[in-house]
Amino acid sequence: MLPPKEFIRKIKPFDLLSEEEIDFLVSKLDVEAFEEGEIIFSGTPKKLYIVFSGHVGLYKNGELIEEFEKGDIFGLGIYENSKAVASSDTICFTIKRDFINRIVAENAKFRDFIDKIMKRDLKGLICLLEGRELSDALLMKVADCITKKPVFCDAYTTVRDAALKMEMNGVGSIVVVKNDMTPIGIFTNRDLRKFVIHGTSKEEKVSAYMSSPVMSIEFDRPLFEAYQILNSRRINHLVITRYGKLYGVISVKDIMSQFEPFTSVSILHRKLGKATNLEEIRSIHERIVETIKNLSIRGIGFYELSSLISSFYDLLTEKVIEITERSFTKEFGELGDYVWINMGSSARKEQILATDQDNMIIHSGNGENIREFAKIVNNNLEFVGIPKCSGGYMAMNWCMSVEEWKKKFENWMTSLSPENVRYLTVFLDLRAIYGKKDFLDELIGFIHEKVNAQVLRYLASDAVMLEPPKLGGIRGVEEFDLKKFGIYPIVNCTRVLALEKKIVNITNTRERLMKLVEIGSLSENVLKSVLDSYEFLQNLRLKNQVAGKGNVLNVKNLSRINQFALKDALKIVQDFEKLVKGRFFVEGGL
Amino acid sequence: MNIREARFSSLDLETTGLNPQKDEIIAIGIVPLEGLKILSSNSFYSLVKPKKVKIKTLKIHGISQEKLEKAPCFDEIYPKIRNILEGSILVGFCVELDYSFLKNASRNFNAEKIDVVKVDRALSRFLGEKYLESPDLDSLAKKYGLKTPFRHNALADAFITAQIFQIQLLRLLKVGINTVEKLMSIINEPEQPIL
Repeated sequence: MLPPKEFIRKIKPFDLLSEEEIDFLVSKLDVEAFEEGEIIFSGTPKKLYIVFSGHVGLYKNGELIEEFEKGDIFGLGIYENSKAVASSDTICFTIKRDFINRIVAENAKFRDFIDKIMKRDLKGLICLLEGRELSDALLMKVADCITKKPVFCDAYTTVRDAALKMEMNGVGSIVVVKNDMTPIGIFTNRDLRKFVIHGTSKEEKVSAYMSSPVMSIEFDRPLFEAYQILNSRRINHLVITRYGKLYGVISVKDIMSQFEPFTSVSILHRKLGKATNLEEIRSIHERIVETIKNLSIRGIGFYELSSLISSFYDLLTEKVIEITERSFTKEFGELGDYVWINMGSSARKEQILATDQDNMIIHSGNGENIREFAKIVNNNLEFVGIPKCSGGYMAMNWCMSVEEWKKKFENWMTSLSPENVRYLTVFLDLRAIYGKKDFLDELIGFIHEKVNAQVLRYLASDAVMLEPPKLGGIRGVEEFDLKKFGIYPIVNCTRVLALEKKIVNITNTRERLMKLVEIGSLSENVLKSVLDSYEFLQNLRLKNQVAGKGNVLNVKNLSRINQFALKDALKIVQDFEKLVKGRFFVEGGL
Repeated sequence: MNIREARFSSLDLETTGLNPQKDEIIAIGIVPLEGLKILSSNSFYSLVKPKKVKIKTLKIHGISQEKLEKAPCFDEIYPKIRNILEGSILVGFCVELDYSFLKNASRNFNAEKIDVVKVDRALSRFLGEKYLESPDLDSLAKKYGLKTPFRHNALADAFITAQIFQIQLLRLLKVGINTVEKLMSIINEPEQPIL
């Protein structure tokens, strides 16, 4: 067989092919060389290209839209009326479409992949390639649950040495194996207790105290089965084997931690409801952060997580306000009517790991007292784990009566300086969390009355100001702020579109987009691609945050498929910006 | 003739030894090129049953004696080989030797030939780089950034040789050598460094 086989079989999606299918394709491939500047195809490609060396730029209407390098494939999907040019001397393996189609007809997985590429189904593609369905813990394999290498010894090991080994590895059990790694018993903390009670010398052999025969399960069995064995046998450790040989050990704890996060959100939620002081709330908050990280690592997506979490944060804010109010009124007497409002991602119900505080107050007229009160709430929120906003957008600074707020908004909307436009983008996502919600309704009603074409244009122009980096060069970009260049543009553009259509009561970006489609202001296609792109970017950001890296993404560390999807997602952001520019006539600036 | 219009055939033989007078061809691999394009889908590969050499005495890595016994003899496949090679320039790694074997086996065979080792030297002289003194195919492939995970098969070697040659052609075009005539003249220049 020809040497390219080794190269090609490692490339997605060719790794989905059987040996025969790979052999077939390899026997049908040619190797084409292109000089720098040479056109590889123009119009609609009739072949699939696999880049072996060099660089290729793909142009549409003269604009560079994608770039390919070693190991990339192109020539499938939306390449109609485009032009591929070698940007350096380039060698490609090429396979005629007919041959690809033959494999497509035979291999369902491969077909699925090609389908998804053709349809630009990002989400599906990532699921397919990362080999995970939106995870169902019950269907996980036991092998997925193993976190440590197994600790083992032979039957002649002394109890002392076995205990030492357990201690040094920080485990609660040691597997006793034969020379060929077949497990014959397990020695656990429980057995160690038996030894302490009945044993005579530390030099006794571990085989005298181990539990034998040992309960084991093959590595590819579902986790749920392991869970049932542990439960029905009332044991804490289960040995995992691979074709009969020791492969690992899982404990009840390991399994519970797989199932737990789902349930623990609701448990913590209930605990929060009963919390009576700030310390308690703080510790619950710490635990929810861990739980969220856990869930995100396990592949729960942004939309699911944010809806799970946002009501938790609402309750947390409510609780902190209640507790503060109780002690405040005791000391300073009754507060007047007011409403506590969250802004930004919290208002949009898109907050996952606690972002900074963004809040304001509308009150009935008597400000001083309430401002003092707000300051304490802001401090208390910080205490329980929600950092203060560096820009100072907090109730202690933004505490006004309904009439004052109306004046403020009117002022912002009549003199549209860059500063005032900034204020508008910050203060247009509002959601009442606690208190007299009518105040907010009144203010929002007022805002929507006052919004005019001029305001919309300025907001639109602000929303499209930050363009994502040029896609072709994404691999040349080392670091990249996901929030600034990916998430904000979508949020801000959506807000302007919603504002134009007077969609008053919806703050959530996804819901706003769906409403826009419902009233015929946006097409289904745009909705689908923007939602996919938004979710992808949010998920990427969440993973980045969980890894402790905030909003700044290191593009080079991304897997190839994520790089590919990122390019696509950013392309969608650009297109969305274009749509907004066109709709509000801000193509050439203001 | 412009290099882009020329046809080449990358050839590799496996033989029972190194003496074209005594030894025989037992496998042949040909990978055609049209200009810069390797038409590997039109490759040819066949085992060849030797006439004189006793198969049982052969110990060749990767070829089973049984298969060799069932293989066609050279005369049977020669018309096809000739057809493929017709009008094309032979390209090979130490191609002279393979050429002599072909000539001996067929008697009436004639072709122009290009040795990738010679092209490498000529290119290196042009670019003022060091060249490999007497490379094997693996080290030459490595020099051109090619991996050779699967070797010792006439077709695989012919393919690797074609890939080396393809990269050489790209580089030759860069330095203005764009016709077969120019190429032939630089590879046959006396091997003295240009000072």
